[in-house]
Amino acid sequence: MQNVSNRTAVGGGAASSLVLPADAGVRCACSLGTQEKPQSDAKPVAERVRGSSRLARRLNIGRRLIRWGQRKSPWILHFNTGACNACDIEIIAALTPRFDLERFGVLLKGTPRHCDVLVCSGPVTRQIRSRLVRIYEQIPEPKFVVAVGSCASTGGVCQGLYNVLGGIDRAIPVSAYIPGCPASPQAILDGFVKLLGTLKEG
Amino acid sequence: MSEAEAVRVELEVRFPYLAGAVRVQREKRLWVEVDPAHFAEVFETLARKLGFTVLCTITGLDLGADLGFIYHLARPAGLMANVKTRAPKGTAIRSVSPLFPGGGIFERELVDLFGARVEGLPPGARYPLPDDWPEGEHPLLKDWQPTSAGTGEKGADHE
Amino acid sequence: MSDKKRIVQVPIGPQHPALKEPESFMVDLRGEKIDAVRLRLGYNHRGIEKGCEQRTYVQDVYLVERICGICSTSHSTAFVQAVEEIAGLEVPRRALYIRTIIAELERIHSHLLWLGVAGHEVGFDTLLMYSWRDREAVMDLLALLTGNRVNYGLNTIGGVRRDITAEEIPEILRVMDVLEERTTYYIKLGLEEETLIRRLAGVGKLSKEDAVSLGAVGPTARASGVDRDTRRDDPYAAYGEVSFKVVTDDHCDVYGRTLVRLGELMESYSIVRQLVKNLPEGPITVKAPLRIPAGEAVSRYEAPRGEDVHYVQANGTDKPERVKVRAPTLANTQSVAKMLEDGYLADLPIVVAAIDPCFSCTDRTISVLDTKRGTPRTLTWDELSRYGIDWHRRRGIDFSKVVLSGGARA
Repeated sequence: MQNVSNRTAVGGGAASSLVLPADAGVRCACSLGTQEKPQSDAKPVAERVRGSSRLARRLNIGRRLIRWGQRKSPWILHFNTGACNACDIEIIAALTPRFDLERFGVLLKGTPRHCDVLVCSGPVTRQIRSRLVRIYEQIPEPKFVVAVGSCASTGGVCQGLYNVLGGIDRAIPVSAYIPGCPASPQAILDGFVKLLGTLKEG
Repeated sequence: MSEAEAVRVELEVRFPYLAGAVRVQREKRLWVEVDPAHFAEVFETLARKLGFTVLCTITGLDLGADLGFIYHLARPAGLMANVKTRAPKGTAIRSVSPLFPGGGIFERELVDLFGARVEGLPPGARYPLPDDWPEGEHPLLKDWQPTSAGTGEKGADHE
Repeated sequence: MSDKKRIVQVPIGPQHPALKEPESFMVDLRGEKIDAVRLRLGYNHRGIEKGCEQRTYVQDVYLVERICGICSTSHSTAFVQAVEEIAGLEVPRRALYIRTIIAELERIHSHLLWLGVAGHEVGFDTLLMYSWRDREAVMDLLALLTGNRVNYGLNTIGGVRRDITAEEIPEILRVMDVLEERTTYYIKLGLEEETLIRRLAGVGKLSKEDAVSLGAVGPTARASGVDRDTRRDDPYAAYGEVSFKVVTDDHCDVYGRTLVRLGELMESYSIVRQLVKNLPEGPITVKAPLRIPAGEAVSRYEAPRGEDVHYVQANGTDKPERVKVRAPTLANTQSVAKMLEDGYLADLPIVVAAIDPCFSCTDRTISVLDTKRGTPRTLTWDELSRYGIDWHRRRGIDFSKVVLSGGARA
């Protein structure tokens, strides 16, 4: 994970999160159980944009904005990859009226086909890996992945445990990391606000 | 005489070979060490005749040439009898699921994580390892190490 | 009943038929009723017991705390208790009281959380919003007392790391008062709201005999009349010094499991008040050695979901020889197949939710084989939840018509 400098932040106190700029490279280090290089989906976001011209990039971002404009809200799919559930509870708490993630237009959806942002917790256990990848592939472009919590970001306390990959980005590309053990609802809100802001800027 | 002491005395009367092998650690904790040949009768006596109708769990241990097993039994009112036995690696032990229908899951853990052989397990899925876990790899054995990447295949690097 | 029952595993999604995924629940369906269910567990298996052997005791306190994000102090306390017993440490009484206060606050937040989850599974989202709002009062209190909403880092070997100050005590009592009032309201709802009773009664039946033989624990067992509670039967921390009722019920169904948890909430408020009133003076920790002498111990703890069992073996070094954890949910999953037998598919989500499982439900997949027509289907948890809610709505159980009182903000 060459481009990330502070992935190891742990702690629920300050609401802080790391959101990569829209054109940053997020290299996926997974091999889907084989020794081959990463699959095409795992290429950096910038490379996924058709053509390397700035015009093409602007067009793609324009398409993204159009879609969000039509929707007026990012729809999220929440997926637990083997977490202890603390982050999952805080994600749902973020959607309750006290923290009210919904005021940013964020809606929880049950299916990959209608989702814009995949919100993941957990360090990715071996059993869940293929399902995570499949769900990611079912989400139509443009799509974003948010890793919530220390385990999802770097493996957290689960680093080195034999049945985990050690973070979401070992299976699929990640757009934003929200640290914390668990990530507090405030940190989750902060992360989402930053993600939405970054994308609107293009 | 405390409840635990009473059970200790009862066991030593029924099974003279248990003399010195039953320890009262504290008020609610008994420890019983049995050799494999006598395990079944001691275990059944505790479960059926002495009121230890709760099987909390079964702990597996890697003892080198042997595997160790601790059956954590309890009376509903709280007294525990932890029954320790062992068997050479590769030899089979009998399932306790006839006495404890809910106990099969603990035995499956022993199979997956220690490579124990348990006879008489009712049909069912393995637990807790995934279907594609490599054959013959038992993570809780002392000489088994995960890779630094943590995917669980000895020697394999997933990056 | 059809003779030819075969289970066909159907992978999700046409894109990668080769990436077959094992379903968590395999259901044999006869019409709308369930014939049999097989569970496949292990999705959350991380390898923590092995990890414990490779880390020091102090590191392990933080690791086991994260076995479950809802029962976190349960695992942490169960672990340190075992280590303290091996090392022969006498934990100061004030520390035991503080552990017990946090333990009961955890039970409170967990049961309120469960109430909301149960509401969500039956299509009663208002209950989710209100109970989780009430729960925030406990989360704030836990953050005030320990520094974190979850994973409190409270325990150390030999005691606790943070003291409760005199200034914090009135806040504890205030929150207990508010929540007692709210819980009284939820109990009234449980006893009087027709829609809720009709939805939950008779669902997920588990006889007392089955609860015992399948090893059920916690509220799941107590709702089938099994009178067991580790706090009373194998007292630990400060439970030997407080008085409380063990709440049991004879409904043997999801409704009973609801009443038991609501009753336990009321007992928890009382326990916390007693502890706060009688909080002993003194130190909050005793020095513990880095290397724990050889020995072994079993520690049992009544987590919100039921009995949690930790076995620890020490070998004289700073790392344990063996740590074995039997969390309550594993014991209760053995009963789930029984509860689902001969029930409606529409009730599967609430029946599973009613054991308050410590695994995330929403990513579970369910494979259903209609044994009459021989047609297999694969559903996500969400799809099955919605099917259940719609199925019951067609039979007149509609929570959108139920109005809740929000009460004063905690």
